[in-house]
Amino acid sequence: MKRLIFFISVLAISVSASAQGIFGGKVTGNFQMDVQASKEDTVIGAAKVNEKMLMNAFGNILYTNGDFSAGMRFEAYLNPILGFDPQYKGAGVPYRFASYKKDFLEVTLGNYYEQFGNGLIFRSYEERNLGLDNAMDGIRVVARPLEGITIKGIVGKQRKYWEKVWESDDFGLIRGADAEISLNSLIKGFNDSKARLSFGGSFISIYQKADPRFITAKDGSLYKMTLPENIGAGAARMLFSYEQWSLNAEYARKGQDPNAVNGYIFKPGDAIFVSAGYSAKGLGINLSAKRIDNMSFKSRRDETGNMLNVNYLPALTRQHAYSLFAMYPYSTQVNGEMGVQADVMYKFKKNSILGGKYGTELKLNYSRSMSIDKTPVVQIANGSFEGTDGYTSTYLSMGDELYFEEYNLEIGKKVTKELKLNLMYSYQTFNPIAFGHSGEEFVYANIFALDATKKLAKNSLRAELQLLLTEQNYGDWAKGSWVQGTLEYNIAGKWFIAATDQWNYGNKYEEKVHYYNFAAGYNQGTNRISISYGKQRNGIICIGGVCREVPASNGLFATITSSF
Amino acid sequence: MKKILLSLILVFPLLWISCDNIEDEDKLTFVPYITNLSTPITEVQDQQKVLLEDYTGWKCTNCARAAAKATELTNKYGEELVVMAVHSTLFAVPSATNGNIDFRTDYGEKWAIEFGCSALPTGLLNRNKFGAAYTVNDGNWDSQIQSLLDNSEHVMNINLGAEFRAVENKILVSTSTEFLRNFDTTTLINVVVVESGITGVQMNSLPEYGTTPKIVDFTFNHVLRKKAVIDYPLSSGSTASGTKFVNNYLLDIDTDIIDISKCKVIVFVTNSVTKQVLQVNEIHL
Repeated sequence: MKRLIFFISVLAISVSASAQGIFGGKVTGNFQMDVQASKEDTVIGAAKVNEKMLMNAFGNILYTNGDFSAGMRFEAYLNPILGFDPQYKGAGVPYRFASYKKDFLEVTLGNYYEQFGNGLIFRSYEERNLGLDNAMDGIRVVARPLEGITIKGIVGKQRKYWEKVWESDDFGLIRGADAEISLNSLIKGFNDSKARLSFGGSFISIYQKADPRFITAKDGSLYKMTLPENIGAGAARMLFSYEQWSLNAEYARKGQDPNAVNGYIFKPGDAIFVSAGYSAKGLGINLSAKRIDNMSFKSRRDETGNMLNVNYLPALTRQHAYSLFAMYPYSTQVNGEMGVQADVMYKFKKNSILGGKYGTELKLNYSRSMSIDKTPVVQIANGSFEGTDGYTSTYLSMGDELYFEEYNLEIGKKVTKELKLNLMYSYQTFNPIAFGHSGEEFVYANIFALDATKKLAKNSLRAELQLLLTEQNYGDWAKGSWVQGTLEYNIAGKWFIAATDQWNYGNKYEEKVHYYNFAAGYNQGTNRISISYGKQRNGIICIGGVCREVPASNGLFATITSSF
Repeated sequence: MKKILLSLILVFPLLWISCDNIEDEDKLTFVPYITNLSTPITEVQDQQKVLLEDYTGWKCTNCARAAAKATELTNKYGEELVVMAVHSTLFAVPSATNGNIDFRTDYGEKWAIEFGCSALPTGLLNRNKFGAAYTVNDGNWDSQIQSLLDNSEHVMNINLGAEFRAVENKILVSTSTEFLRNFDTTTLINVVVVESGITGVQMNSLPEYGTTPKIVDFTFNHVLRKKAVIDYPLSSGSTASGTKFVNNYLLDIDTDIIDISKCKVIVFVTNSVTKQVLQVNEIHL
């Protein structure tokens, strides 16, 4: 309650202060509140909500004055809306910080988000849609001793819901450093060079107290496992570009880290990520590849799930906005995968045969993720590889298991001044391992989308039709074919109303449910209010290869967003 | 250049932190203490007991006072109190002055660090947290023991059997642990041997407890000497009331033990999360 009063006071002071400034500084902030009222629906599997109404809300307040800034975020989950971990229940200020710059140093005290390179060994970030927040709490120092050289040092612990992480050695203490050198900035002769080159290196060490762990061998004898208490990981990277060409490469290696995700094996982990691109007017090409081997890196060795991730391993697949294309999303397999992705964007010129009067945009995407080659070592424990290296792996050999494959084509076409069309087709091969159904049959899906937006004076009308065709009907998570239609009407950029129906017409074993939804909203300046009523199917949402389950719901959902 | 050197100070500490690398031979260590042999249960428990861990050392000049207090409390509480003297920290490092007698154990040292027992004498009572600290000054042991006996929940009973197998020079311990209520957290079991009646040198600054500056014929009691298992899993996750675990342990007895007849086996079970001792029992050999 004290925190609540404190927050309201700060908010009140801040709102009035934003108009006037405070001590010569500037106050900014934003706010969001989601309210959900869902009723029990046994057909779609929506659970009864005892509280009748659920709410997630947060507000950020940021004060900046020259080289000084300070801020805080108040969060309230009263109680968490469906799909958010119940451990979020409660309210408080999980994020607060103060930061200043002086000469070549920048110091942050309190909470901060940070990323080293591509994040292969360290990324602290928040993804609200996933209910994921691994904000660091501690100290960050950034030094820029010369132009072109940046050195970062961090110490702290990660957030986990509302747990008091400083009171227990079970939550690992993260120490890290990162150095980046931009040769173009450092060496005067290269300042104006078309070739841009930078190098970076980083190191992370996590201390976590190790309690004894015992395993029973096949013959019934007992072994004590000695666990490392300081887990280290290092990475080296380079970023090169020359005119339209670019290359981003990073290699990371992690020391012994027996943990719950890898089955308590000692094998060191490694990861490599390479991305090459070509970008010219009307043409963009990007080719990416990665290999991950035993790279789950958490600040608590017994942790599973999304929380306390120290690193970030992106999925090399296209992120979809159309809901049926995202029905079977790919989840990064942190224990081992190899993936490639090719992205091509081409814009047919205006007044050409394929470009027409306004030009045509074509996007092609191919992605594929496979298991890596693994040869198991001899087991000691009964039924697991605990205490051993787990397996050996030939570096560039792929395994036999396909995790995900997608062929994707998108065409964007402005037909007239008022009418714009977007068409998308995708063929996806999906391994249900991402849903935790390892070893079950794959889903093969042809998915189509047609999206048309028509301008009507100050208003606009958008119609969208999506179709997912698949023969796979397993009941629980693969329910055959779907079709979805959406109509959305925007009035003068302020009001909108929308109606959507997602119909599971191909379900062989259950009721062919219509997941209808009606929504309306209003925008004014930086404020937005929206309300919707309808059914939400259960499923999985993934962002950057990190996924969370969303349970079914049936009822009202309202959102308020605001900023100043 | 000065700025670069200052900036590198951010990075260099990590070279020292680095990471642990467990050698192949140390990854899995055979634990010889679990056995299929058994001995009859002779010590049946029916009451909640308190474990007093007396952190002490021969160089600690006030530790004779704490030892006397432990003896006094043993007489007062009888079977309700189990005492274990953990010789640890710099106060227990042997030297020629005490005849190089070393009562330290690696697990005793680890506990001293883990529970903040650096200023001796001090004690732990059921590894309960009193405010922000685990440690309790010997002047408060009595009142806190009484409080724990009055307020602790009786979660389980530990029934014991033990025999000294002279031919093999081993102690065989059988335990039968029975949960008296549902319990939601993983529990860990510890089986140790303490020895009493050992004569040695104890530094002392308090004349009422013996000669100063040292007592040359001090009697050390309840000295933690050997272990079978430390923090070995007993139950995993939730355990229902009425669940019984039967286990057998073998302890090696070497020349460190001076008189086996003055040894007893202490078995205690802890909550893996809070570290709190849920129950303790002892059996004389």
